[in-house]
Amino acid sequence: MPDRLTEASMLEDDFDFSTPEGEAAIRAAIALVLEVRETETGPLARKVRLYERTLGLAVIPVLLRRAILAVKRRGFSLRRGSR
Amino acid sequence: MKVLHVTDEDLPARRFNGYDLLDDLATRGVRGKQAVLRKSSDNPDVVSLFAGRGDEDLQFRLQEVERRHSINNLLFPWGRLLAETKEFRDADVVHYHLIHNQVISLYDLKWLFGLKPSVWTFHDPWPLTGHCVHPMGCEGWLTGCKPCPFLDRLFPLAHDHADQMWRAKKRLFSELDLDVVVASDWMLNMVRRSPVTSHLEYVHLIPFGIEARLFAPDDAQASSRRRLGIPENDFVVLFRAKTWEVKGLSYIVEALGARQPTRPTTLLTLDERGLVQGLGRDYRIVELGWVDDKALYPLVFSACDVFLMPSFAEAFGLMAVEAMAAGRPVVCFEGTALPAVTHAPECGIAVPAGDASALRASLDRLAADPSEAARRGRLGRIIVAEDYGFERYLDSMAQLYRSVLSRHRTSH
Repeated sequence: MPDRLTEASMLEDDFDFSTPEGEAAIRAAIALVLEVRETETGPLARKVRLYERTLGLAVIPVLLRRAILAVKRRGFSLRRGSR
Repeated sequence: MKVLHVTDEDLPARRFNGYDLLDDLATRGVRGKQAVLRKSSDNPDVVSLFAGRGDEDLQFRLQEVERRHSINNLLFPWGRLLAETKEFRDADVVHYHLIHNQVISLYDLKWLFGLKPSVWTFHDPWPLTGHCVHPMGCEGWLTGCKPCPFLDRLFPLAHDHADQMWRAKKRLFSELDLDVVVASDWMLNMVRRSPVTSHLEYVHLIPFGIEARLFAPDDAQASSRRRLGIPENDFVVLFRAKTWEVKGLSYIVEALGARQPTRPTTLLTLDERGLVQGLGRDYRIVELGWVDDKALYPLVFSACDVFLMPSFAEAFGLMAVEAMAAGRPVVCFEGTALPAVTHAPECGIAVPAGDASALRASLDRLAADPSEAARRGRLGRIIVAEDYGFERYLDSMAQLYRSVLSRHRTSH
């Protein structure tokens, strides 16, 4: 988990939110935010609490980074596949 | 026809965020509802998107994340909840207002506009810029906001991602099907010059209208002053006291501080309190705070002798028109929509932006020559009747909604 967060935090400066990839990440983050808002006891809420307890981080940045990572990885694998 | 107005709050900007249209447009066959984040009225036609305290906390966190990532109006999820409301589903047309006050993600707009025929009133130039609400002389919005020399302006960015936000808007607007409303030639000119919006086909210039009859005639000045606790024979200077630099309060304070009042003078302020206490030695100060009361509000203008509105940026300037309706002269800065809206120099008085001494000189002249103030006041009323009539405004809005709906039905 710490490795993934370290990796994610490095995205902050170079990630371009204006691109279609950026849009996809934002849309995914919004979906996660709404999921957290509506899930009081489900697995996602437990993960959120775990993040907050163990890492002392606000949950939404974590979710945003997670969404960014997911989109970047998807984009990377798509690019590899098209070669 | 049913129209849903979407904005951040219902009452604070009720005169131009659609709230006052809810009832007023009923006479034109338009039934209005409003969706807001925070509801402060008890109006059953207004629905709140915030479900409770938890959503206020969530909003606060999202604002923090946006600050950290130096992005602006991207993460807010309320547009998706808006689409689930009965009011949205029932609406024939959705009219968006101050949605850049962290209501709807830019990236949800295309989806929302695809669900319903949509109108968006540009209340300020934010849709054209990288992050700021008003460029105030900066021309970066014409070329991509890179670099941004004014990151601390509303909505501030910690790092310079203004060019990203500008590109995001440009991409978004290239894909949008919507009707845009602007209230002034000044704003229309910006929309036409902007690379983000210059291609938009349906941009409507509809100046706001006001109910001039509510703004009392001259003979009500004495009773208005009694109601507000102002001595009847004082010279009364009205202005909006607001810390936001755009509104130019520091220039009012500088101008008033440099004056030696030759007669007892009251400073009458709206909005924030406690900002002009330093002038208390030479002036009587009456601070009213933010006035929502539709009956009390016109009395404020009736009670004054002159209205100062030295904004560095205004896309329209409704308060100036209200002062004109009350028959009061308006002093403003050049470079905004206000000189044209107030028909300066014949009616309004426009002085160079940032020139506190010119502001003071205008004030001195009006204080010394009540006949000039009266002449400008009379002209103001005529202009309001001709250009900013409420009935004309309602007709224009109803006609717009019908044309938007008709075009949407034809093309979809």
